[in-house]
Amino acid sequence: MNPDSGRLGRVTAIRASADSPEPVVPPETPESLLALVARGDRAAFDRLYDRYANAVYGLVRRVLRDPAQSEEVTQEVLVDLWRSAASFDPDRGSASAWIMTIAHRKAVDRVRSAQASTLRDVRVAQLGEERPYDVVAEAVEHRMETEQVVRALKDLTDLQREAVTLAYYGGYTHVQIAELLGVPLGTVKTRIRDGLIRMRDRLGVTA
Amino acid sequence: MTEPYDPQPDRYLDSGAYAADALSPEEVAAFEAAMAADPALRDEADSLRATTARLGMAAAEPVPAGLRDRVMAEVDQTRQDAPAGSGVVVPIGSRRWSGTARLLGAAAAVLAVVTIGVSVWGVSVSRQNDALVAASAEVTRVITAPDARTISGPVDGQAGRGAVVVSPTLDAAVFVAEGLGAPPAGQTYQLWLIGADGSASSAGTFSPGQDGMAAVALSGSPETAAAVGMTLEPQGGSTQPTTTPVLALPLA
Repeated sequence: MNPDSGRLGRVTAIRASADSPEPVVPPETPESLLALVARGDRAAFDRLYDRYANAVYGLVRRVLRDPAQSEEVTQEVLVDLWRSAASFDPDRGSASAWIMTIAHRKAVDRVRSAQASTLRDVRVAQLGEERPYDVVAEAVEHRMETEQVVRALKDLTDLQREAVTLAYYGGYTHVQIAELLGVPLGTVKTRIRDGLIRMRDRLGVTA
Repeated sequence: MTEPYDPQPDRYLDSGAYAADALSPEEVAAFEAAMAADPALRDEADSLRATTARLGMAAAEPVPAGLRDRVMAEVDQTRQDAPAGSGVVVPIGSRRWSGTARLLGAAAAVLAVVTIGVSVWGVSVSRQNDALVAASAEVTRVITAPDARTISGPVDGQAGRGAVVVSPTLDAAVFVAEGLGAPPAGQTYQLWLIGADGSASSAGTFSPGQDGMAAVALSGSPETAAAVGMTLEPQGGSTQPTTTPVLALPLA
């Protein structure tokens, strides 16, 4: 370790404490960031990128699996946040919900588009080999910030978790899920809805 | 792969699949229409959206190196959308239109509502919404044509007024209205292009919004028509007018 780094750390700490009596700036919420972006604030968009790029990329990749396509769609989503920030309506939900909705819709649009038929074949083949919700659970399990979500997911019945995960992380339509599982459409819809309601209540989510 | 037709689906059953984007475009359109009419359904869908968003955030993983530069480069060249509701500019100041300025204002308001309607959640995903955008673009195109002429008149038995805006160079016309009552149950408003010989061809059916406003593009060519008429017809429309017109506007 560099002997100077300790001293530097102390200096920083002193400076920080000297700063503290100054008026406290309220932390920037995602909603206030989006409002700035909507007014064309490029620096605010940089901060929005830093806050959400990993989440957008992770979700898109979870759905698409193919890294190159995922990167392409992630770029589309992030540019779309810049373009359409003004249409975010805080009355309908949080900035995170809005952003993840755009990301998820663009990912499933890509999966379902005709050009992606090869991709879809690959995904269906993969589905036969693994149970996607276990993969997801393993991948996110170790992360503190997602622990709560994983616990809520685990708290579902196996059938609910399967339906929710195939729909959201898998990007499958309810018709495809019904075919995959060999159950009626209404059953799939009920499992997804009951599962999400249970997760919502477990997580204390408010719209 | 088609879904069995369900005449009376329980839209609440769809809320989870909607929040997980697992519905077909047609079902999304139907669900969003149901949601617009049922605040409790909308609240449920919003709360489940917030829940799936948590699942989305939980999947975060580091973005590939280089993506940031590409995104920023594209953003630097990307024009932002205007806030919803400010995107439609209808010139209503010209003297030619002064008599119908208020009506055109109503049309502009209708278009603004359409714009807001499709920008909820920021992305237009349903085909129904795309059709609305396309329709409003056509209305805007005709209303703002340099040679657009407006003919207006009162609607029989109602306080409402209707107007036809016709552009000879575009060979296109739109119908705008304000204060129009909802058609009686089982009926719809239908527009007609009426020839000099009295023959009528359908120019489409429509229902006004809850605020009594409408702005619709007429189908068919107004070039040879002598007038535009409006009748009440059974739901789905008729091939020929079956009732007395409640509005007739001479084009000549």
